[in-house]
Amino acid sequence: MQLRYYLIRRLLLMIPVLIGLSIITFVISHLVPGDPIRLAAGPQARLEEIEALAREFGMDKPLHVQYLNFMKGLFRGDLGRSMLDHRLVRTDLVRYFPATLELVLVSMTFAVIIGIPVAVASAVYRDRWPDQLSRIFALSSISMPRFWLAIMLQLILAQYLRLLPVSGRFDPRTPFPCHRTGLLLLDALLALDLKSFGLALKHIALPAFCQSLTALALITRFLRADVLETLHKDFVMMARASGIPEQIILFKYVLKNALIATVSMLGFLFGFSLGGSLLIETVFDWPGVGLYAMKSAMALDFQPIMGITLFIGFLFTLVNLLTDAMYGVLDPRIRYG
Amino acid sequence: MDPREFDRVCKLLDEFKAGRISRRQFLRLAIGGSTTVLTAILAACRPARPEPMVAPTPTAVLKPAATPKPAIEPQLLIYSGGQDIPTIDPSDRTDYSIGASTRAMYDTLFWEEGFPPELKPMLCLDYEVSDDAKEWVFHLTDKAIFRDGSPLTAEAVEYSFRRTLRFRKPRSNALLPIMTEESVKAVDDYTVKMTLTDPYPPLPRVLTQPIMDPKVVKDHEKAGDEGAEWLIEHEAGSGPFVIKRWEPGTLYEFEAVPDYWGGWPGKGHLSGFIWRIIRESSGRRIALLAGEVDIVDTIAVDDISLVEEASGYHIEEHPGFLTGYIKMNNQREPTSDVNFRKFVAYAFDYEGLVTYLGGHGPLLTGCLPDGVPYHDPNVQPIYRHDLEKAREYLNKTQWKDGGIELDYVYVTGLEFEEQIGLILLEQLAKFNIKVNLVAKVWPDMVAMSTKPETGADMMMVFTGYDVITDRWFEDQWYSGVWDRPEGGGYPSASFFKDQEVDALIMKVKVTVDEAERARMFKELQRMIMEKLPEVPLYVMPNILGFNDRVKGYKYRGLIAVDFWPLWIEE
Amino acid sequence: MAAEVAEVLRPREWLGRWREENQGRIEEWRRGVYRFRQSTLSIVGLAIIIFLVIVALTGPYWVPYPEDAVGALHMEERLHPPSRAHLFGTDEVGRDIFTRVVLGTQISLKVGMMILVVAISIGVTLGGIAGYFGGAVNETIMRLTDIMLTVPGIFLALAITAALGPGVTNAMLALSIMWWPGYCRLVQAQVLSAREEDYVQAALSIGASRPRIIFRHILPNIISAIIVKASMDIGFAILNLAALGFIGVGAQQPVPEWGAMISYGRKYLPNWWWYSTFPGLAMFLTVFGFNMFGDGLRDVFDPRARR
Repeated sequence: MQLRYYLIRRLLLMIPVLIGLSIITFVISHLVPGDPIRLAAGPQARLEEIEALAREFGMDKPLHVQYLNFMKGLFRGDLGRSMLDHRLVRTDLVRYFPATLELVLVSMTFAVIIGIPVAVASAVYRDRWPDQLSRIFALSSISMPRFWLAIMLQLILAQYLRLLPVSGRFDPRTPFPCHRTGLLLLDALLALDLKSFGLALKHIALPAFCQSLTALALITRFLRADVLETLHKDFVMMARASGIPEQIILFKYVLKNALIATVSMLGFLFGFSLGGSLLIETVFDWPGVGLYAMKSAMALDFQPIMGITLFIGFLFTLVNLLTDAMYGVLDPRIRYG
Repeated sequence: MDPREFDRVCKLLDEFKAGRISRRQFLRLAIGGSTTVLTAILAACRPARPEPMVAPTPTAVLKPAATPKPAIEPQLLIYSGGQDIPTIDPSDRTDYSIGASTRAMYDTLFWEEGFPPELKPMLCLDYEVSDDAKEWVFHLTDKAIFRDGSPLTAEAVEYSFRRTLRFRKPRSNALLPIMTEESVKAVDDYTVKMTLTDPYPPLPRVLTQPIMDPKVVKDHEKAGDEGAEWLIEHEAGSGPFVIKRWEPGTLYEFEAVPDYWGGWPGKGHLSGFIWRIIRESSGRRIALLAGEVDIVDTIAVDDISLVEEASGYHIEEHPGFLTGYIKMNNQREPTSDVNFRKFVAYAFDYEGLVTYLGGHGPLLTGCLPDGVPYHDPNVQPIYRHDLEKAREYLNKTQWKDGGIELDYVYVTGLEFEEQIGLILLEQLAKFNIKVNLVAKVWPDMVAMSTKPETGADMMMVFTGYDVITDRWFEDQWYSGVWDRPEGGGYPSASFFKDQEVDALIMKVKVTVDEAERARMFKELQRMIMEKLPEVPLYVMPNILGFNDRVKGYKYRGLIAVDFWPLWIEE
Repeated sequence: MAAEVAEVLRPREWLGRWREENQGRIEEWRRGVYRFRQSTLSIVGLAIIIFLVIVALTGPYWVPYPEDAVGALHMEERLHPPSRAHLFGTDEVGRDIFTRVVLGTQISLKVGMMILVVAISIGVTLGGIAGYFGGAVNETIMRLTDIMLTVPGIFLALAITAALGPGVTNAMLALSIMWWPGYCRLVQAQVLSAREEDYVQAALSIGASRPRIIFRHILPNIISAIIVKASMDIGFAILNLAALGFIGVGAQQPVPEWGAMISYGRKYLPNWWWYSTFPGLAMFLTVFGFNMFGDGLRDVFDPRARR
C-alpha cells in the first residue's frame, strides 16, 4: 500500500533530519563565548583541576571528535552529564518529561473537547453572533501573551479567590500513592485514589487551561473553515434533499470530517504546545522539560541543552509521523504517492 | 546530667506524688530515660509524706488537678526557596541551599551560632593548637552515632577530610593551601591530629566539612567513584534529619531523627521539613500569606511591608555576609587610573540605592562588612555621593571632559544589579560619560573574569567569605590569584596588583600574634580604601518571611536556614 | 519647460496603457477592497494598526517623561498608582509607565518588522530556488527546513540568545532564524505548483529567461499569500520577543520593551498591579490588531476561505 511506503520513507528521512539537528545544536552549544568548565570548577580552581574537568567531559579533544563521541554515546542511550551537578541528563529528562507530557496532553484534550463543538457551531451559524463571538474569542486568545494571562489568572484565582493552588504539581504535604507512569492523573486513577486524583486535577487545572488557549483558538479557526467547506459539498446537499434531518447530517458527516481534520492538526498543535509549555512551567513552577531547558540554557550547560533539544526534536518528528499516518488511515482520499 | 532529662523525671515524680501513676508505672517510665535512672529510683523510693486527709471543701473538690504541660507535638514545616539542591555530596561544593540541607543531615566538628558567628563545639569538644599554629589536636565527643547506631569515631573524620582533599572540588578550596591528605590523622578513637603545611590561626573556622560514614560510602561505591554518584542524592551522615523524599526540581522532604544524639536545643522540634521550590519571589510571598508554606526565603524588599502588616506573619532580616562590589578593571583604561576609580566612587548615588532597597541593605563602611573579625568601622577614606569631589577627581584624569563609554556587566535578570547599573548610568551621564548596561549569564561573566584582557570595565559581583578575614583580602585583592597562567575567578575581577598589599596579605596569613594580626588587617583595609580597586557598595540583607507559628529561629549566615533548633507552636 | 518634459514623457498615455494591461488585476483589487470593507473586525484591525504606527512615530515628541526610557531614575516616586500625573503609574524606580509603554510601541513594531524582513528575505529566496529548480536542490533545502522545524522555535531561540548573550539584537537574530522556514515552505509550495501553470509554460515557450519568469510572473501571484502570512506573523513575532524578554534574555534595561516590563512587574503583583497590567494590555491590543487585519486580508485574497 502506498501509505506504507510513504511512512517508511518518512521514517528513513527522520535520520538525516535528526543528525542535522544534532549538528546545529552542537555548534550552538560549543561555539559559545562562555566557559562552563571554569564555572563548574569554581573560582579557586587550579589549572590541573580545570584540565581534569575538561578531560572528564571530553572537552580537550577537537570539536569533531567531541561530536563523534557524543553521537556514539547517543546510540548507547547516554546523553551525557550536566556539568554543574554531575547528574546524568538521561535521568533528569526521564524525571522531568512526564510533567510536561501530562500538561500537554491535558491541555490538548481540553482544547479538542471544547474546540470541536465551538467550531461546528461557528460554521453552522455562520456570521451570526455565535460565529462572531467565537472569532473574537479566538483572535483574542492568540493575541494575548500567554505568560501574562497565566500571571493574571494565578493572581485572581489562586491568591485572591483561593480557589486553586498557587503553583506546583501536587500538594507537598501529601505523599503520592505510587509513581508508575509519572502522569499523576493516570497514576491516581490506576491506584483508584480519588483524593489524589482531585488534588492533581486542581493543580493542573490552571496551567493546562492557559496552555490550551492557543490550541483552542487555532482549532476553532481552522476547523470552522473546514466544516464550512464540508457543509457546502454536494453530498451534504444531496442528503438534505433526500430529507435526512439536519442533526444526523451534522453528526454523521460533518463531525467525522471535523475529527479527521483535527487529527491532521494534532502534530502541529503538539509542537506548539511543547514550545509554549516553557513559559507556563516558569509561571507555575511546573517541574517539566521547559524549566529544565531554561535552567540549562542560563547556565550554558550544553550537555543537557543538546540532550533536551534532540529529545524534543525526536519526539516532535515522531508525533508528526504518527498523525500523518493516522490521517492517512482515517481519510481514504489521501494518496501519498 | 541533661537538664531536660531531669525535668522529665521531675514531672514523673510529681505525677507519682499526686497519686496519678503508680510506683511501678513511675519506674517504668523513668527507666526509659538514660543515666538519670538511679537518681530517679532513689527519689521515688523515698517514702512519700502522705497528704493530710482534710475534709474536702466544695471548692477543693472542684479544683481541677494540675495537669502537667504537654510536650510540644513535633510537626511538619514547609520551607520555600527559589534554589534547587543540585547535589549533597559533602566533598563537592556548598552554597546557600546545599549548605542548609547538609547541615540538617550531617554533623561537623563545630557549629556556628549567632551573628557574628561564634564557634561552638559539636563533634569536637575542645582542641589544642601549637604555638606556630601548625599542629592541631581535636578531641571528639563519644556520643555521636551514625544511622546504623555505630559510633562516629576519628576514623570517620579522617576519612571525610581526606576524601574531600582527594576530590579537589570547591569544598577543598579552603583546605588545599594548608594541608594534604596526610595532614589529617586519627590518633585514637576520639582524637584527630592535623599537621598543617603552613601556619593558619583561624583553622577551626574552615573546618566545615560534614562528616560521612565511611562504611556507607564504601558500600555504595561504583566503578571506583568513592560513592560520588550515590551521594548526589543520598546521605551518609549522623545529623538530626534523614531524607524521606528527593524530587529534584520540585521538593525535598526530610524526616527528623527523634533520638538524635545531639538532642534538640529548642523547647520542641520538627517532625520533619519539606523544602519546596517556588522560583518566583512573588510566588513565595503569595504562598506564605495563603498559608501554604511556613517559611519563605529571599523575598523582595517591597514584600517586607506586606508580610509585616499581615497578622500572623513576621519578617526576619539579618545583614549576612554577601557583599556587593562594583569591580573595576585595574589593568585597562580608564579604570586603571585610581583617580578615575575614585571619581566613580564619589559619583555613585548611594542614598538612591538605599531608597531603592527600601532601607534594607546596609552600606559598607570600608571594604569589609560588619561582623567580619578585625573590621575597622573608622577606616578612612570612605566614599559617599559627592558630585563636587567626583568632579575634582575626574579633572585629575585625562578624561575630564568625558566623551568615553564604559560597559557595566551584570547578571541577566537580577533586578538589583540592574538598578545599580541604572544609577551609574544616570550619574555618569552628568559628566558626559556613557555607561552601557550589558547583561550576561553568569557563566559568561565568570569566563570574562579570568584575564584582564577579557575583563569588563565594570562588573557587579556579590561575594562573601564568612568570618575568615584573610580570605576576603586574598581572594579579591591578591594579585597571585589572577596573575597566573590559568587566570583568576570572579572575586578577583578587579585585577588589582599592588606589591605592598600583596606582601601584607601574605604576611598576615602566617602571623599568629593577635595584636599583630589586628594591626595588619586594619592597615590592609586602609590600603584598599586608599587605592580603591573597586567600589564597595552594600551587604545583601538576608530576608525571610515567617509564619508566626514557627519558633526558635536563629540566623546562621551563608546558609539558608538551620532547621535543627526550630519547632512549631500554634 | 515642464510642459515640454510632460510632452516628451506623456505620462497620461503611460497611465492609460498601464490601466489597460492590468485591467484584470485592478478589478480583483477593487473586489478585494470591497470585501475587506464588509468585515467590521478587519477594519477595526486596520484602524488599530494605523493608530499604533502613529503612536510609534510620534510618541517621542509628546510623551510626558521621555527621559524615563533612557535611564532617568526618580526614587522618591517609586510605585505610585495611576494618577493624573502618571496615567499608568510608576515603576520600582519611579519611572512613568505610560511613557515607557508608549515608547515600547516603537521597539516592538520595529523589531517585529525587522524579524519578518530578515525571515522573509531568507525564506523567500531559498523557497523560490527550491521550488523552481526542484530535484536535489529542492530536497536539500526542504531537509534543512525540516531540521529547523523539528524543535519548537522558542527552545532554539532561547539557546541562541543564552549563547550569544542577552539583548534585543541577539533576540532579533534568534527569532529570525526561527521564522524563515515557514516562509520557505510557503513559497516553495506555491512556486512548485505555479511552475506547472499555463502562463509559465507560455512564457517559457516564447523564450523568457528563468529569473524573469520567477520575478515577473510567479512572484506577484504568491505575494498575496506572503502578505497574509506576514501580517499575522508580526503579532506572533512581537509575542515571541516579549516571551524572550520575559525570560530575561531579550531586551535589557533601560530599554522599555513590553515583555521585559511584564517580567519585572511580576514581583510587584498583586498590590502594585499596574506595572504588569498596562504593558500586557498594550501588547494584547497590538497583536490583536495585527491578527484581525491579517484575518481580514486573508478573506480578501482568498474568498474561498470565507465560504
